[in-house]
Amino acid sequence: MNFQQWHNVVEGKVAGAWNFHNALQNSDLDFFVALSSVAGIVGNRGQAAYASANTFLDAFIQYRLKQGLPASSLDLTAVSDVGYLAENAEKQAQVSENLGSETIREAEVLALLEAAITGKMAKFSNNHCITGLKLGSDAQDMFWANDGKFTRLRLAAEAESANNNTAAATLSLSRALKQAHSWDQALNLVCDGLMNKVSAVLMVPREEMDPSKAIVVYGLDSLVAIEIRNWITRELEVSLQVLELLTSSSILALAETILTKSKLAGNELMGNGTR
Amino acid sequence: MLSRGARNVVLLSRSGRVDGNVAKLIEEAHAINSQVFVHACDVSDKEQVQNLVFKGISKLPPVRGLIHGAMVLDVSPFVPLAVILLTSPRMFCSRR
Repeated sequence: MNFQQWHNVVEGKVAGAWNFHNALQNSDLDFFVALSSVAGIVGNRGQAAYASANTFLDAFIQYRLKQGLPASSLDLTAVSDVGYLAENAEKQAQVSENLGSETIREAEVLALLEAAITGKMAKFSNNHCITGLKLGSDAQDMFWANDGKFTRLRLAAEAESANNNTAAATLSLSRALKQAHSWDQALNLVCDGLMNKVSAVLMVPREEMDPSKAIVVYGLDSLVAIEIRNWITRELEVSLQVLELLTSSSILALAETILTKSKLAGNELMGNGTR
Repeated sequence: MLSRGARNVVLLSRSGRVDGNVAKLIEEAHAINSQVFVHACDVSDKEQVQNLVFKGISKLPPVRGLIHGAMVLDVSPFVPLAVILLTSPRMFCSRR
């Protein structure tokens, strides 16, 4: 990119914003809305000039707000049903590869515009609304997801997908338990299921967990204990006291307690298994 | 915005071309007693913006709001577009 190319892209937005800001200084405005782009927020690849022009707009809007002037910025993602991208499938595919497949529609843009004009956006998003950027199970595939500012979104997305995975795994856990042939096999199933669940809920890597350690070692508090207790009730059909979780000497011991009380494991297993 | 009561809307583009959708919009505005004006204005040019605000549209009711939607994508020049809205009564005044 040479300077002229940079200049062409940046000036419409940057100088445009300044020129109107200055020329309308004595006008009593109700609204000053900048249509910005999410490309700035993620630092879109191959669009350095365009991205920076948009982060300028976002900052400029905050500058106006600091001065008590009306201002909002709307960071749009790809709009699917009208405009340039809607008419250009190739470009749209390129955009969704970079930003994720989350697009918005004309009606949503208009609703956001209305929120900006009526002042609703001031209440809910500090007059800076970012669209798109949904982090789902594909979070790892988005180049921007590892940026520090997305940490909370990313962790939430990862926890959710881990939860979904354990949900899928536990479906087979109760079934596998019913089919277990020996006490030890059943105990292993319960112990593994428990560790998967604890790992997902407390965000402890599964490979760092040791079944001979107590769950509290991994940061279990009473709120999380309730969640795990409920999971045990639901998936293994055993009701435990929250206190039993908090005081059990190890994950393995807890698994043993669960298995002893479980209605899922076959009776004959219980008969010859109880030591 | 016209359907919500904006009486005067000014559209800006570098070319100031009036055709296709813009022409249709002007007609639709007329039908509901509103007006859409189109001006040629490169918003990145300070003088052109000042000319517009202090001369070009000075006979219209005062400017009440602006939507800055200018964009040039990458190296392929895109028509910078900005929209200024003018409404004589405070149509969008829930702010105050």
